[in-house]
Amino acid sequence: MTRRPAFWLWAAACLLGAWVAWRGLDAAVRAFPAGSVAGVALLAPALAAGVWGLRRLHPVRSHPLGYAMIAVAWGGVAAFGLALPTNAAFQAVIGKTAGPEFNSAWGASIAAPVDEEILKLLGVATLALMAPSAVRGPLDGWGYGALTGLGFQASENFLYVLNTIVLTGATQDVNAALFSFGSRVVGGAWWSHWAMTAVGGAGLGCLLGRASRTSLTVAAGGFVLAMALHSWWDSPLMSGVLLLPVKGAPILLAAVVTYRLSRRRYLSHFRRTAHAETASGVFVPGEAHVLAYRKWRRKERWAVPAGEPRRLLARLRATELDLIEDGLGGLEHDPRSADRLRADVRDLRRHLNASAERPRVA
Amino acid sequence: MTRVRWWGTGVVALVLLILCGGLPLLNGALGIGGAPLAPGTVLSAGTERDGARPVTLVVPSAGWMLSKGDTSLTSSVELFSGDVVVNLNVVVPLGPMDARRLWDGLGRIVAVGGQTRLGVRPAPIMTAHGLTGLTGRLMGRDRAGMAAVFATDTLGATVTAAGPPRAFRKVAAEAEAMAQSVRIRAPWP
Repeated sequence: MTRRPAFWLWAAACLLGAWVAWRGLDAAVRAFPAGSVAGVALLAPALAAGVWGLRRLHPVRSHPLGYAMIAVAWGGVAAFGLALPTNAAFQAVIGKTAGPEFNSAWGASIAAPVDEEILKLLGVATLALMAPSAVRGPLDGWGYGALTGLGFQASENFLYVLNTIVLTGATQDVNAALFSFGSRVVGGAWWSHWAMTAVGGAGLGCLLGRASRTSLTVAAGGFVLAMALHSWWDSPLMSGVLLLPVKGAPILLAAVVTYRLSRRRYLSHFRRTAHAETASGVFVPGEAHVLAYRKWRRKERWAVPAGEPRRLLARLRATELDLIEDGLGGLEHDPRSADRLRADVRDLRRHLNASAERPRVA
Repeated sequence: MTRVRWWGTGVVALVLLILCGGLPLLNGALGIGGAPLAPGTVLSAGTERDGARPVTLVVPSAGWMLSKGDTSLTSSVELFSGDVVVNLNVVVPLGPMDARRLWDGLGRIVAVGGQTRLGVRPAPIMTAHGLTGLTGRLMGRDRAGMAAVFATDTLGATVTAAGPPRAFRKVAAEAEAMAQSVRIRAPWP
């Protein structure tokens, strides 16, 4: 991965974003230590739970932790840090051209969707350029988009802890952190950045999986929808606290519908490919059912003696899943990779069957 | 799909450059973005309810400009005269608050800026509308200024004015007059 230029772009953007964020927040963190510590203590477990949950939303196998962390780091460090001066400049431009009254009402709903949705979605594109096998379709795009958005959301929530301390006159730092956590995480996390970027990411995943006029239209549609949802959330319309769930519902609904569609497309491909590979003799009859469920794959491993046989079985299942997902496409897709993976599956099965501890594999 | 490792990365880098470099450049090209304010202009900040914002301040004389780029009316107003900058900030308390606590809090907020620090012995202040608070000096390296805080049960306000010592001395009386003109329409649900 380090041989790819996108890796170095990712690293440079993360370093630059971290530096910008540090310069912007360092003095506030030092000035409000109790509120900052309370904020981190509240937000870190929420982020960990979010990463775990979003990875688990893949119906067959969780997104690799390494790729997930690359996406979270882009959102939480690169996109967030770079968005700070960009948003400030954009809102200042709106204030100077349209006036402070208009800016205070509509500035955030114009500037933030453009800046932040672009910056977050670039994280999915960068991951796909770093690791082409990571994003093969809308479900991968949805997952990594959601993880990028979640990283951004966590950093922004910390910024809001500091902003709330300032808004409350720095008179009750810990209460400000608790209030900010309650309003932005407990009450507002359900329809926040993760959901918007998941929608845009699913569209981009379509395009990255298989480039066509249709997938380009879907990608553009997903991106525009993500920006529109973001704009809707930041707009002054329906601003009452009691109305926020109603305001957030369309965003959550869009994310859920996009997920269901992406999942259905993935599972349809999964079943089709598994059936074809079974018919051609690469998969053993019944193996597709085991492959489709985490629980069955886990149970199957318990029945195998620990050591080499169990490792071989895990590798066999991973290679079979790679073979199924290979057909989804992706950037720089190698047309010979399917044959290579089929040969690997046959080799692994032969080794596994030959091992003394594990005489036969279903 | 064709190999995109170089040009794809280049496109991502280009978008980053245009977005994160272009907007600050455009903002810089638009200049300070000041709007001249007539004497007697009432500036208001805070969440709008029924067409009005709860915290107001009156511009006492000519020569002041509203900083359009740095003003967010929901929470703050920034105006300037030459190198002297005046900020009016709205404070929304989460619980009981008094002027002394607000003064201490403002001291920490001012310290975040790094250029000035708040004096430790504020004096009582009463505005033309009978609002009571505390006022004192702002000090810093090559910076001079004043600050005032006002607290009610439901809302508070802080005013800070600072600039180079010579420039601030010229407008110190006007800054004091602005602090004296602060009004908080409380209670604000």
